[in-house]
Amino acid sequence: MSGYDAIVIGAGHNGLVHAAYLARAGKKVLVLERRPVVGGATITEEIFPGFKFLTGSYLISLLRPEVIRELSLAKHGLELMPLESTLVPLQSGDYFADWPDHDMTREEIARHNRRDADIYPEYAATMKRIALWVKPLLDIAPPNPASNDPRDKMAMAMIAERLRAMSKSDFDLLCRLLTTSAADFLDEWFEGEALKGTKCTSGIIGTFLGPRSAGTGYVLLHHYLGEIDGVFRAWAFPRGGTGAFAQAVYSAARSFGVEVRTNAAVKQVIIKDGVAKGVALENGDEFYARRIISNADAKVTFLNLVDKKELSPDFVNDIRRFRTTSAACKVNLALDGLPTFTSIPKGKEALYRGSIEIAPSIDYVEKAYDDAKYGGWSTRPFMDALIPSLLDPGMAPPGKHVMSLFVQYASSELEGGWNAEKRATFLDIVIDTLSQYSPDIKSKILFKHINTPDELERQFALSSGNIFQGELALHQLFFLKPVPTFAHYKSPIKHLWMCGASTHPGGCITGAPGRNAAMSLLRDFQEESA
Amino acid sequence: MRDGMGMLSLKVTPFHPRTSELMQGNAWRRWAGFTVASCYEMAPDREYLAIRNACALIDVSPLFKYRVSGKDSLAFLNRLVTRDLSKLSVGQVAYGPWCDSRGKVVDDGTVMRLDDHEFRLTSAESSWRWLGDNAHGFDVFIADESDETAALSLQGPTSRALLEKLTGVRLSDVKYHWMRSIEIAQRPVLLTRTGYTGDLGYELWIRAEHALDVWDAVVSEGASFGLMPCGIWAMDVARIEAGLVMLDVDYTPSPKAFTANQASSPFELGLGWAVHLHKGDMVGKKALMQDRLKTDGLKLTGLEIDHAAFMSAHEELGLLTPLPFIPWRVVTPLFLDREQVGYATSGTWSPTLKKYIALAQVAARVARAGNKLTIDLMVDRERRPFAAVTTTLPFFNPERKRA
Amino acid sequence: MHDVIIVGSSPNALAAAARLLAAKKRVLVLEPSDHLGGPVSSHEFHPGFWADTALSSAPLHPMIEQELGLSIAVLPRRTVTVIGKAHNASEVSVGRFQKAVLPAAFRNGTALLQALHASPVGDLPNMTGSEAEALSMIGAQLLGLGEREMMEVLRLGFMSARELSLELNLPFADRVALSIGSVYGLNEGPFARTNVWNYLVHEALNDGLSGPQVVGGLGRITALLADKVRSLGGEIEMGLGPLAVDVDAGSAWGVSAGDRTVEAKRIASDLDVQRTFGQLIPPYHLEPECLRRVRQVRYRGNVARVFIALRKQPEFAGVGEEDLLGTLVIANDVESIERAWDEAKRGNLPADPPIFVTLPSRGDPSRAPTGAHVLAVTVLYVPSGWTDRSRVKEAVLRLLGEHAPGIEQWVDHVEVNLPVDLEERFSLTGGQLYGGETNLSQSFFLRSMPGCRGGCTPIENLYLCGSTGHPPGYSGMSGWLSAGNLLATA
Ligand SMILES: Cc1cc2nc3c(=O)[nH]c(=O)nc-3n(C[C@H](O)[C@H](O)[C@H](O)COP(=O)(O)OP(=O)(O)OC[C@H]3O[C@@H](n4cnc5c(N)ncnc54)[C@H](O)[C@@H]3O)c2cc1C
Repeated sequence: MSGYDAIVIGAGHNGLVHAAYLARAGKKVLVLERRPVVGGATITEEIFPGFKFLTGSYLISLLRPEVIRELSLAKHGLELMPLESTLVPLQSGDYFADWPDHDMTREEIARHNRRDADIYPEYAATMKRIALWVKPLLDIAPPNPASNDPRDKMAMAMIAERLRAMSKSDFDLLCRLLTTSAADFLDEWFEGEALKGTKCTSGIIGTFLGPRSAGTGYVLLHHYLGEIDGVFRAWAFPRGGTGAFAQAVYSAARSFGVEVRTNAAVKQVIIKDGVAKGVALENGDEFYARRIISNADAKVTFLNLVDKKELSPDFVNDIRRFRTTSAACKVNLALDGLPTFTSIPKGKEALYRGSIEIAPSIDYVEKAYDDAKYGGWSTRPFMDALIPSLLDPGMAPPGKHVMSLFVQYASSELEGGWNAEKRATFLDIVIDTLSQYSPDIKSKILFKHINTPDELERQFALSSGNIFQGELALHQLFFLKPVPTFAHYKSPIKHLWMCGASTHPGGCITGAPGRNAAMSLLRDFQEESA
Repeated sequence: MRDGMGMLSLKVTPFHPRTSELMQGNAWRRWAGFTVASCYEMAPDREYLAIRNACALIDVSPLFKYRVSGKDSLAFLNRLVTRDLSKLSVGQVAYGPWCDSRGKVVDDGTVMRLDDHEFRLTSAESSWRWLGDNAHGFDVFIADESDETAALSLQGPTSRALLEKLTGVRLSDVKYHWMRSIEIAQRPVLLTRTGYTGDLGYELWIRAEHALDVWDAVVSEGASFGLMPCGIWAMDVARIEAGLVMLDVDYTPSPKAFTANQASSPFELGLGWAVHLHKGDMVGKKALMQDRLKTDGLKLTGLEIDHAAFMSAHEELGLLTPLPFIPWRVVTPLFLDREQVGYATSGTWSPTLKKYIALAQVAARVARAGNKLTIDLMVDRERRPFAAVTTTLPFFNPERKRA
Repeated sequence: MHDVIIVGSSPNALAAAARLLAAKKRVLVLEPSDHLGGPVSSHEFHPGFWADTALSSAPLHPMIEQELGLSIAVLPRRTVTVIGKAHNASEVSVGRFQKAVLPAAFRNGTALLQALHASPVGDLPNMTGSEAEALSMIGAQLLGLGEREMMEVLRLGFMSARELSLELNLPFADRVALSIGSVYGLNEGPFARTNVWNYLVHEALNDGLSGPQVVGGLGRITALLADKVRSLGGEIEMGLGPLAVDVDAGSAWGVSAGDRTVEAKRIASDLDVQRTFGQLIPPYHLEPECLRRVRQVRYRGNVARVFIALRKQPEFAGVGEEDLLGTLVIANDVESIERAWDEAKRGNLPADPPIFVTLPSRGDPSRAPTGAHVLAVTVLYVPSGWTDRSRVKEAVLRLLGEHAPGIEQWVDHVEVNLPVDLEERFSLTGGQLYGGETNLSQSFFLRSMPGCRGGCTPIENLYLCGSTGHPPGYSGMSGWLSAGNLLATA
């Protein structure tokens, strides 16, 4: 026995954050990653020589500032560059832009709709206030409302207290937002199609629903919980790509003594007398530890890595019904030069540095969903594009550029399944759509790459390629996440824990599941030795 | 990276071709999304003196202007603003705030009665949506004339004489808060006897395409009346002396207040005189009825900071006293026996009164004139308490303002 | 002077009147139109043929029925039979909705909602003592289910009918019935989340697909209630034309019809919020922020009611005699229901709108001349502003013809009631049958709109007592609770 305190299955950013916190508290930790590289879906890959691709996540917002401070990530190389603007090219040839300046944004909104411009500050303030109330919930292990444990009771009381302290109108708004659709919610505030088009996308990112489906209001809120330097809903690009963020966590973890092995796929969790004891790798190696913590998603963990005999049929059923369907793809382009977006006027070229969203209206995005929801893909997809090489010249050779595109919708349950040909066809659709707004893009493409849901599943071991290790939905949220009654990062198998995005508070680069699980686990260690 | 990347620009007013020629010290600032001058010369001193001793020309085009017409325009506006407009005659102007349903101030501005069923409203913030949201059920037509209307404020003791010279019309019968249609350089101008300086003065409302003609005429004729184009800094000194509050500086408009208690009721802003509760229903009436009786809120007050002490504190250290000729706008706590009882919101050296004055909001119990509070100010590199006595507003109220 | 004037006369209004009268208040009910009951009414759409105009079922709450000593004859709960093509199937299949196979969470959820519907809604999260007590009893009921069942119930209301169907692997008939029940009255498809909540709401109200038929037509409920109100000393006047509530300084004091004004200490409106604050009183009596909330309430009705006078009992292929006493759902699989919604949300009439059909004359021969029958069709996803009656009629007759071959030859008369007609006839904004969509986001303390819980409004002495409040529907409960509130604050 090697005497590990903990073995973490998977070196996604949450696995690494988790390991770092444990090691920082003096635990001996081993991280096992099936891929040759660490980072999971938070990764920068040089798929085409000289060009750094963001094959998974591409921007940071929800990362808990505590994680940056407590793990000294700046010392380990993390540099965040806030994203300045959002450009929405419109089908009419005009554009809508969100500038990094209040007056400019106001003027721009007013250009499209004056009533919207007047209400916008109130909208922004309201959303920030709501985020402020909800944010503390990100940093706790969800209490079980049915439990009599004083810790659960205290946490429930804390939540009730917070809700009571909200203003009545904010409370009502929060309840409505959680349960309604992004479109209905935005209709309450705004009139302009372009503004609503770009705002509604926060409600559908990573979610296989259209903006007019109830349930997207909550997803919208989820994406408003991020903050960069105290600014809510700001997004930032880490120098070197999101992979560089994972590398910073990796470096921090190692500085605390964490041992990380790559190319070390876990085949099974070794369970004896109902207690998790260790893991067996695909190559036959076995490792043992006092605790096993899985960073893999809930389905992978309990349906692939744990012998079903060890689990109750109810629990297995709960895991099976955990929704992971997905419709998100990731495209990366190596470009011979900067493409032209015809709607960007002279003097406003700064907009190239921000995100470029193909979401001209709610109807457009809804139509993209309708195309895909019966097992198909969007004929005109929603896309969130970024040219990272404008922010960090190191992302591409001099004079060249990379473009990252987050694309929806292409169903993980594609009629007849995915194959290379279909991937290529959908990639062409993406580029055709893009060239409506940037006619010269095709002539600039040196290399193109797409990760469709099946590819995301294959590469990152994400069930159905779900980018958040499970859908963001109220029925699998908070104390229901990933499955009812097991939301404390503990699994029903003794000493088997979870720390990935399948657990509260869910997907995105947050570090929160990893950190929260570490806090709970460290207490568990403490109680054990007491 | 490309050429020009990162270029953003603010809007400019119709007077920009002239104001930009005058600018000497690069002292531009933002006002409601526009580029306007803080001061034209290297320092604002002469511009201030023009306001009080001759006349000053201030570009106030960034104000928002709306025309309200239709059968119900009076009923609509009377429900919107806290003043009773039913008494407003055609040709008259009323200043006052308007509130939300919690009785908190949304904005403040003037209402001009152009005709029986025709009004103009000016505001500091865009009020387009607020006006629209309040118009349901009223037969009114609201037009936003902000962009097509340029505005100049002509303030100071010689302003009337200058205008009379320009128009050849006697203006002494245009009384305080009345208006008159005139012509300058053969251009139609609506003249209101209003201003934001507490002095004799007028505001000129001009079609944007006539802006430069009017400016040129006023400036060339103005030379013999001591006219100076004047920036926001000097106007700010004057308006503090006049005890006039400024949105975003002395109070947070309620739509922008992050929490409820950041917003202010008109009673807290010393605008209780402009709240007419006896008239019919109006927005926020219920809350205002209660607020009026409240004794635990804040109250706007003037402060006279003990300048002698401030000066001797400097002199003891062998230093000259730096006078704040440019008003400060930093929320600064006020104490009574080291207990905070309020805060100052803007302060300045008053060159006319030779006093260090500030606008403040303090607990009602210490708001009566004559209470001695303390304010912490920097003396070189130290923070020191100084006496600050509450005073009635305005600090400066010359006869000529209303004459 | 009256203690209370109630504007409108749905069972909610009449139940409120009865409760107030029982508490010795002087009550006057004023109905603008020339019929009582609002959407809970029947009409003769063709000589000798009677239809329940807006709703196929709207039972009175059993507690109210008992309190008022009424006895309303109803037929047993309807069975639900689904006719349609399953996804990928080439043949039409006919199947019974087997509610019994649904997990216990459905029954538990329904029971909880029933409890919730019968208790005054507190202004969450700051409730008064008694409201908090009522809610904590429901909380205890929830906890009493045990940890696992409790969580199962909590999940349910957040889910989409489609997700749930997949999760439970429901057979064709069950998933279609669940989907139709979940989207009925909503402006949403079965793929959208939280619509199972709507299914549970109608289960709790007992007015969903299996809601029972009232013998003698829905109008019976109204008639019996009106009799009761009169017998308790209440006055009812109808046919008054447009009414206006008189408001002075933020406080309501009377109701005017033309030149006549009647004063009262309290006014209760049976109309939805939009009409109450747009028609009954001019909008400017509300503070702008409040008006904004009024305008945010969603009323996108998309249900049409089509009535067919048949000379003979229709025969649906594969459908038994017994099934004709129940509800027939004609819809293909969950996806095709969603596709119909795809059309409707773009303002088009779906090619194949999902419909459900009842044959009221089968269980209650009084609804049609001897031997003849009334077929009542509820058509989903007819866009709110749709005006082309003939296209709806065509679609319905075609769908019926596909499953009841030859039915056209027995058709004597067809009456189409579009959402716009229902709006016009019953003063329902957007033709929305329940005075506001019954989504989770417009439920409970968010109903009728935030800040108006328990029937209170920002106008002093003005109350809401209709389906626009909590709970939705025409069980009388909304009026009953609102009357309770009115009495408590009197
Ligand atoms: C295309 C895409 C775009 C995204 N965009 C953004 C974005 O812009 N911003 C944002 O905040 N979030 C984004 N996300 C979401 C975010 O990347 C994820 O939520 C986050 O990376 C989850 O981190 P994790 O550590 O919990 O899990 P993962 O990153 O999924 O890591 C799990 C790790 O476990 C490993 N593993 C699995 N099984 C085994 C096994 N048997 N043995 C050993 N190792 C195993 C996997 O290889 C993987 O490395 C995106 C995701 C995707 C896929």
